[in-house]
Amino acid sequence: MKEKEQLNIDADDEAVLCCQKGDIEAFEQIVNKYQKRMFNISYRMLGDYDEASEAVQDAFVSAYRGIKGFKGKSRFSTWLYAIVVNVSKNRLKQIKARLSREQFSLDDPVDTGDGQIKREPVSSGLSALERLEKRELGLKVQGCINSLEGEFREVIVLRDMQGFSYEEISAMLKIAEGTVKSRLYRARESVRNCLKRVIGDL
Amino acid sequence: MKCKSILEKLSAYIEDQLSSEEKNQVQEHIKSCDKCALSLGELKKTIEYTKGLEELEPPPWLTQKVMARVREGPVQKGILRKLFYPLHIKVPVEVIATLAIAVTAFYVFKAVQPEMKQAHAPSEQAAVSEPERDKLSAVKDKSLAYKKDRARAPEPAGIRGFEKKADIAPGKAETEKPPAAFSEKMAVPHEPYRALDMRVKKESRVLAPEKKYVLIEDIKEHVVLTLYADDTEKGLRKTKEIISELGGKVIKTESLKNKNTLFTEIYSKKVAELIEKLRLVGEVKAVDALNSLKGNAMIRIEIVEKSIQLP
Repeated sequence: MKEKEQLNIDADDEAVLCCQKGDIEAFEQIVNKYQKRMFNISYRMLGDYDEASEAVQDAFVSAYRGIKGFKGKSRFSTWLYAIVVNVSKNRLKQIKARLSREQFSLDDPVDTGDGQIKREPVSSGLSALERLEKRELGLKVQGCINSLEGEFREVIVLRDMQGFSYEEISAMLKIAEGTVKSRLYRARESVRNCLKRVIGDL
Repeated sequence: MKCKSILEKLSAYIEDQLSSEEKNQVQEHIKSCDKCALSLGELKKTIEYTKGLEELEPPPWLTQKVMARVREGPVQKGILRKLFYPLHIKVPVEVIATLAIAVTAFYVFKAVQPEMKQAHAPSEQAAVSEPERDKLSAVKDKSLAYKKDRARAPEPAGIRGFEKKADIAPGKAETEKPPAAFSEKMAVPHEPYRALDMRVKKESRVLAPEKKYVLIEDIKEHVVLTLYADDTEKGLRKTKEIISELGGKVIKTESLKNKNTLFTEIYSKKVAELIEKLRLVGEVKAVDALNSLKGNAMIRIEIVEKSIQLP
């Protein structure tokens, strides 16, 4: 993924320039190219398929409106991901405020939009049982991530799931790399403890 | 103590983010500490699980929706939100609304003002006139001036009582102007009335005294007749008979010592006939403007003792 992005840097620049000149079609290319990754960042942060769909739309729309402000100080993709992380984080606050009366418990069944997971083409070579187990595990992991605060969610999503470098994460979140590391440590510890409670032995 | 600092480094150790010195520390410690070794294993698993989460496909309509919203442009806020949300727009709206209310209030006040004056004034004047009247009534042959308003009369066909003293000069009684006894206008400009050399007695506290000054427009509809009879009681009876003969309606009568007052509603064409018939009973003094009457006319007939009229 990373390599592919680097190869496409020039293409991005061109598309971004066109967008800045008001070319809407060029923006459509950008949306098509980045929507999956944007969506997955948002989905893992929010843990809800529909919420993520909304958040990604908002992120793209605000990206389009703010594209003239993109000066190329970072990579365009980093700039774009930063937007979706921010939008998702704000949305998370809204969701939490909405659900504040209903106390979230780890024992509650976790809604991860698993209905959508079925659509996913499952990697071949896995037995039905293995697939089922993998799905079960995925739900549990997402449930544990959902129990994290936003600032810890974003680092674990960006680092462990999306594989961004510390440097990239630091640029996206506008925090020091040391902060990224310490947050990542605490986030992983929380998830580890959570998984131990949920699954038992790791 | 040692374990804690090691645990903090495990996350970075897994990603090979430690200096070689720290890395060796961790490796040495793990060999001798099962607890930390277990933690390392768990953490590795945790990261593995997290990394192993599948990627999801975004909804197929995502691009379409995004592009639709982008094409809509930013100026898609509702009119109401536009008016009320941003402060720089809200303030002019408030100013315009305030001005509109102020202007409306001003014109409403202006339109209502004349009636307000008339509605308020009598209450003030009534308060003043009450003691004044008592005082004045005690003093014989003195001018009495007071003001009143029709609106305060308890009945439209208000009641009025005069008691003329025998020592009052009869000639002066004739100077009395007919009151606008049956004006339907609630707000009639009040005018001071001078009942010269006459003592006005209020029959009842509840009954407001009649207004004695008559405006031109009031005369058109209302007539006062004065009948000078030898006997007021007899005069009243006869007058009633005449009225019923002519198809009129007696609304109210008042009997006082030397005077009976009768209010009647009668078809205006019959008024002349009424006067003619009354002349048979006694001398009739009619106030002008009989010709301009229309429809049913309200007439007050005062039946006064003849002796009062003549000196």
